[in-house]
Amino acid sequence: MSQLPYKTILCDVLVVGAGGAGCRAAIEAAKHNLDVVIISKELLGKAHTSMAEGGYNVSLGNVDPLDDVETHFKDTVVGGAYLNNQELVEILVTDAAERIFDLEEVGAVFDRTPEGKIAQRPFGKQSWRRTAYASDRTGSEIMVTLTEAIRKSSVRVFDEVFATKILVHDGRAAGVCAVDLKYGDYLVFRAKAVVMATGGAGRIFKVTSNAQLDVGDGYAMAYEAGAALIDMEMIQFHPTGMVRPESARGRLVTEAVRGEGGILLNNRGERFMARYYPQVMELAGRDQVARSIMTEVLEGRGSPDGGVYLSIAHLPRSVIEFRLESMIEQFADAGVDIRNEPMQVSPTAHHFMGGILIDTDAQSTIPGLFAAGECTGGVHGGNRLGGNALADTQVFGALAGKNAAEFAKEHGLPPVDRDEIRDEFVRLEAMLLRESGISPADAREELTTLMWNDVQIFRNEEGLSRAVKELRRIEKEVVPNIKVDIQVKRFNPGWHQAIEFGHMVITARMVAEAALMRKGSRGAHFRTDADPNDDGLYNIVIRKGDDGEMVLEKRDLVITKIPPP
Amino acid sequence: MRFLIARSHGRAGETHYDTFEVEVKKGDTVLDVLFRIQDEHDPSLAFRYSCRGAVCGSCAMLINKQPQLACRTQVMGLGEKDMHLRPFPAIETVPPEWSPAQGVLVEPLPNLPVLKDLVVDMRPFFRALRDMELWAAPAQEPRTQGPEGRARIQRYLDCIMCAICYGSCPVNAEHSDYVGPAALAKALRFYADSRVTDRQRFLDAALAPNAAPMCELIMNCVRACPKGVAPGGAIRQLKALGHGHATDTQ
Repeated sequence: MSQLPYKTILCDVLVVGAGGAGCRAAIEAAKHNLDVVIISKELLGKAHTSMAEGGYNVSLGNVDPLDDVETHFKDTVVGGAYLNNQELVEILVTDAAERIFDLEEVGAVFDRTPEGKIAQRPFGKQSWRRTAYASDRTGSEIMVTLTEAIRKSSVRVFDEVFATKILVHDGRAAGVCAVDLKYGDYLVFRAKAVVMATGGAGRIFKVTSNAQLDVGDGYAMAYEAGAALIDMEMIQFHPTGMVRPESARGRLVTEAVRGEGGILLNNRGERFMARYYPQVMELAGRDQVARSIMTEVLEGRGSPDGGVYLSIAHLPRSVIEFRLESMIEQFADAGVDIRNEPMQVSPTAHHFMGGILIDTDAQSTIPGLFAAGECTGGVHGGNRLGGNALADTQVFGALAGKNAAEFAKEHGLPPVDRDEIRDEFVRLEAMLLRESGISPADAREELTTLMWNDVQIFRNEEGLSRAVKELRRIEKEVVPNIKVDIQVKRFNPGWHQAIEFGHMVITARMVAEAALMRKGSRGAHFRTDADPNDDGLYNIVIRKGDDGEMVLEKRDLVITKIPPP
Repeated sequence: MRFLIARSHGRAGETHYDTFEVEVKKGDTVLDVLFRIQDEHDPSLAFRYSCRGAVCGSCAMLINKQPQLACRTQVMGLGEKDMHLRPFPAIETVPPEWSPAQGVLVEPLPNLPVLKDLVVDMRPFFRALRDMELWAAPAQEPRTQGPEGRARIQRYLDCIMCAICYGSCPVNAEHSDYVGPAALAKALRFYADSRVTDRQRFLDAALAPNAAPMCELIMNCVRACPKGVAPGGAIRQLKALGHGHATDTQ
């Protein structure tokens, strides 16, 4: 097929994704007097970061003066079941303070102590009250502020642009292929350095807290480009997602509800966490609470709609109304007044601990390709502490932006391969031209149901083997036959979903294949048929082999301070 | 239930209405219905969405002639809902094939150019934020702020930039150069922030000819805002400040 027309945009640093990490990276890179471009699948400011509710972990010690970076480090590594890359954790806990002050300086408004300092509250598995917050809309506050800072900067924003492929030349990142969703134009962004900040992939599961567009674009693009990914089997299921109405299923009920004193009850009115984790009760790790809830439900002690109850009836009204205001609104929309009746909750796919493997410069295994935020792996190990994700976006966003800028100053613009570009746009165009095939909606339904049934909280050999087999089939038979019914290119959601589906399948395969390889239980990965001889103290690294097949290998943990017991 | 949905290709001109019959369950939002139409009837139906939870502000549209977030609007409760907006042509003119008894009418948010179907060009709305330079200047040191200082601007922090106020404003309908209610609420948010050192510039920007002075205090924005920001109240304060009257912002 002949070359499809496309426009080329040149820049020094290209940031793919405009959530917390991407915006922070772009702002940082722009400080170096470079031409910085950020592309966003959504309108600027609408990213999933704005849905983060609870807070930002930083050991300021504003309410518990004994807190320090060492304790934050220890809590993060213990919480991560010792799978974290400890070099990265050190960066997270050390830089978290400077990065929250950065946010304040550009206008972010956090809740306050009576002395006017940033207030901090308790979150699960943390030794001290460490989580800074802006009511229960912390992510939104951060996103609004970063958007204002982007507007102020020289960063060029291309929003509603969907990156589909990373271009690599001679082993170095050279840019991306993309589609302008508004007009349907093909675009090539060429850059001296690229930062991936594409977020997570909760949408590969049927029940998720994630925004609609979190389908794993970055994982799939990085994999296809030849980058290594790590810990892809580690998916955090947030213990408290909404249960009803059906349309709100999976929507996040912030951990702040439990942090502020909310309790979990089964259908007999028992505070069942006493049976599983009596020391910490509702503030056990997210993986632990999620499994406890699922056990109650599976053993018949759940609510009629298949969840358990989360009650705050015993809390003072002022706490509920001032610190959980968006929860009141969220449940009121579903017809529940949480001041008077308990919420029904059950686990929901929430966060990918795994992702693009990065070094301490936030660079991937491909030179010139940097990454930050949820699309990376290693920081959170086997389980992420609530409040560490927002800190991650700011710390590693800034780090990736700075190092991408320095890389761009030291290197010229790499060439791109016109044949590779042509092939990519032909692939996208084919989805529109195909005469018959499978609709993206049907394909997505099959995939998300498969993942929810076989690769969820409780995993076993049989389910995982089935998932892997099915996903390989879907990759071979469904992906090449995805067909968009209506051929328009201009803002055609059917087409966008068709492109996304390919990314979802690659991401889902990495999750399932790694989960199948890991025979024991560790962190968020829980096997009902766990092999007691597998202590699980290794990471699984995935990359695309020279023959095009997915290659998985176990790798030694990166330990600097705290060896596993 | 019947849904009448505005379709257009933007620049190409005309709007027509497509009718879809959709089964609706209790608890379904208008956004759920739009997804179902997209999945089962027409995958090319264009609308914006992201969070599904009234946080991102992507899915503002005109539902039964009232500007609302599709993700927060229950289909079942639509009949009795009335925001009591002061009418202007976009929310007054009803397509001949529709009446409230016959189903749900979904159209793009007024006062912004339509790109396609329910997707509007948000650039005029966001341009005001840039033109008015609505951002904080970096300070050298981390600044402290008392809880009461924070409480003073709390209401304005809840703004999610959904543009519903802009789409509900009769002044925006007539004057494309008017910055609109959200930008003015944000200007007051910075002006009233106890940590901000160059406060005056926010007031100056808000008192420019195409800003607060254009507002006629119709208060459609206050009635339509899905987050209780009440931009009209902010504009009233800005006007008072412009006339030299003290207000309670500081």
